[in-house]
Amino acid sequence: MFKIVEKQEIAPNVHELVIEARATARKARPGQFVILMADEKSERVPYTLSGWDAEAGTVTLVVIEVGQSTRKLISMKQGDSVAHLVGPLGIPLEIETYGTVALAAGCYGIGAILCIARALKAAQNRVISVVEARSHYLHYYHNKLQAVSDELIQTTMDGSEGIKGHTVDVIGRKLRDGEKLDRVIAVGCAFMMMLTARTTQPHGVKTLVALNPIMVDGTGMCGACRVSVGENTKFACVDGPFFDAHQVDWDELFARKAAYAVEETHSLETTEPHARFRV
Amino acid sequence: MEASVRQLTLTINGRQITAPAGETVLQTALRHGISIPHLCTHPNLPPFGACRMCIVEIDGLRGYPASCSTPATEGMVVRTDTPTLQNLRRSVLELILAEHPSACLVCDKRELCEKYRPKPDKAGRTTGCNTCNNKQVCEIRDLSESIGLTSLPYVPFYRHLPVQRSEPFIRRDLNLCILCGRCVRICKHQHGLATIDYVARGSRTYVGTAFGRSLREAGCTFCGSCVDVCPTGSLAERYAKWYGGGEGSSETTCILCDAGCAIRVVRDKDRAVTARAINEGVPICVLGRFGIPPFLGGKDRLRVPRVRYGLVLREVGWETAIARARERLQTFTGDSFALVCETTASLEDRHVFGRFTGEVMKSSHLIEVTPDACGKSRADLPAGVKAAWLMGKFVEAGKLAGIELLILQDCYPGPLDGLAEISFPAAVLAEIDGTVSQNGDFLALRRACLPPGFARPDWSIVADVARALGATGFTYKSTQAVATEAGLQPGRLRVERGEAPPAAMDPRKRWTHFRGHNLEEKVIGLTLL
Repeated sequence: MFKIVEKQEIAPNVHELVIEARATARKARPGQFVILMADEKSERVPYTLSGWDAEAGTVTLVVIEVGQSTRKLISMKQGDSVAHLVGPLGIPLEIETYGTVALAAGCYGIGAILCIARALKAAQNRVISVVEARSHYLHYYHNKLQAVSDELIQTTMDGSEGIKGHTVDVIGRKLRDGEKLDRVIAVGCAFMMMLTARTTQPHGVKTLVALNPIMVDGTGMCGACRVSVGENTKFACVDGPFFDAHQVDWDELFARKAAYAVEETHSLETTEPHARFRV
Repeated sequence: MEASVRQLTLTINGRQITAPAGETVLQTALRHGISIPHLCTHPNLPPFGACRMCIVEIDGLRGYPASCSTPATEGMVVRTDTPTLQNLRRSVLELILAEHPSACLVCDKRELCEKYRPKPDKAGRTTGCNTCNNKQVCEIRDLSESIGLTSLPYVPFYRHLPVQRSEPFIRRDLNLCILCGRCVRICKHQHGLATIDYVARGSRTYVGTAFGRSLREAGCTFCGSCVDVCPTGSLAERYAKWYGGGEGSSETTCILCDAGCAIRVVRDKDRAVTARAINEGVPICVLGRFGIPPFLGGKDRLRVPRVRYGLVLREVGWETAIARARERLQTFTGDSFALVCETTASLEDRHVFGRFTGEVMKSSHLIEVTPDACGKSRADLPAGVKAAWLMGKFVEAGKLAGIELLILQDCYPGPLDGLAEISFPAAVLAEIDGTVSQNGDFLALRRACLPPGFARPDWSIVADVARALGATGFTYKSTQAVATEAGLQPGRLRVERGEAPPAAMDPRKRWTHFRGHNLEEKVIGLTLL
């Protein structure tokens, strides 16, 4: 059993969980993820590692409440234990000295790039973190990201804080203005990663995206997470999660992610444990 | 009566139009195809004039009166679309949206987003249109489009209120509420109750119950009218909330009690997802409003015919099941056979049951039980009956001593499954066409969705068995063909319901059973009432 040491809603619908997982915390590397089951009967869901503390033996996850499984997880309390946690999984992000690296993140990705930014900065890169949210109250980790970035740019869709627009607008503008970006890494929803890929492609900037298809075992056995990258079929769990953004078949990824939309909604409506959510 | 209403002549935007006395300027304009943006007003509610979206200019009146609460008068000169009004309306909307998560409305990627994500993504807490259950049917989105909203000048304020998920059927997220008061007013208007009302003052105002009680404790009847009128995603029907407007609908009659309310059942991917009163001016009860889709969509619905092999009922094809019925029923003609159904079954079903029992089985034991005041039916089998075909959960296991053949035809499994030789899955409620007789009235059932798996209408199963047994006739092509043979007059829909059914005013007066099944066991939420 893996105890939830800390849990809080750091922005509306965004939850930060610190979970006791000693072995995972010892081995974790930036860009990796864990697969977690809230209870014995839960679905297995991958969550990107936002951070870890090898000494305390904990991992930190940023979780967005979306469907049945995330709901189960975020309805647990501090001190409760999740049934299973396996990881670290996936190939860690290559950390070298590239020069200037722009990190684009939205949604849970803002949490996910924290450890990436830290590692890239430690490797003498100039790190530009560009984070997006719909509105000012949905931004989180501002101070944490500022501490590990050379430049932190926040965007909002409604213009209530930082630049009005999206991360791609900022990165696109930088590239058009002739700023040299040696690498762009995007973590967030598939839509945002696709837009990033489209924006950087004409400029020929190496761009990596952390793909998030439906995943089951996370160890390369089931093939549920397969994605088309260039001519190849890859498994996001063991070949990824990072892939060359310009090679990804985005339409296929969208279609595969929506494969169980009806079942997901059905499970939500028939099992919402509303009696448990007393306010 | 129409003749006695005085006709007025007025001018709107330079057009001379007439209006019956008593009509508001907004009603007159809309009736003549002149659109005026409006929000807090609702056809089922008396005028209120809170949101100021429908302001107009009227010669001789000071300021900008709300057209929803200004009666039309003789000779009135109204302008609805001057640049001043457009600016004022935009400002009003901008102020309303300062407290409503609406970043998606002014997003510059909106077009591309709609292309890739036309339906909203599910989310525990909604923070924009893209994760809002109301996205596809939202009045705020329509309004912002018609007014041409392009930016949000005020820094939005999010209330950080907890989402209320502990109530049966209704989930409330007051962070999306714009305080139009439609829910407060419809509850007062339809029930004469202040179950919900404005609580607190100023920017902290929210719609809630007195003393923070739950809706149940506050006396809510769960008629769902507040959900019907909510223009935002603030009040949502838990079961239906991610389906938007659905893919289609049919108008039918609710048969979960004998009030016979006309309802519209909405489907998505051929499944029922929500049901509403056709005439939303009069509330329906919790069963009609919230009970039908979860009952029809239950995980343990019977989907496949089953036939006994030794100790187990094994799933088989229809042909095998009908062949087994034929083979076993042959030996039970005469009064050793009985068929048991409820009088609430459709008249088409009962016609075929009657013909089958009398003409094919040569039995006088067609037992049609009338449900009691709770919708419960109890039947006893006459002495000498050795084969019984039960169209629901009406007979207790203890009363089946001496039965050699038991055929069950039902929508859900029951305690008699262990004794049954054959189990047929039946289509029910919004899954069937037909006619029902209620209090001397003939009411129409119209299929709105598909039954689960291989389930079929009751009459068609019995007709198939009749044909297998060599009977002539029973070759109906449709429910209508049965109705024609039975000489049934066409059923109608009871749209104009003078008064709300008793259960809409007090949910404890609802029927508790359908086809012998306790609805509380099938519909999550009823147990919490």
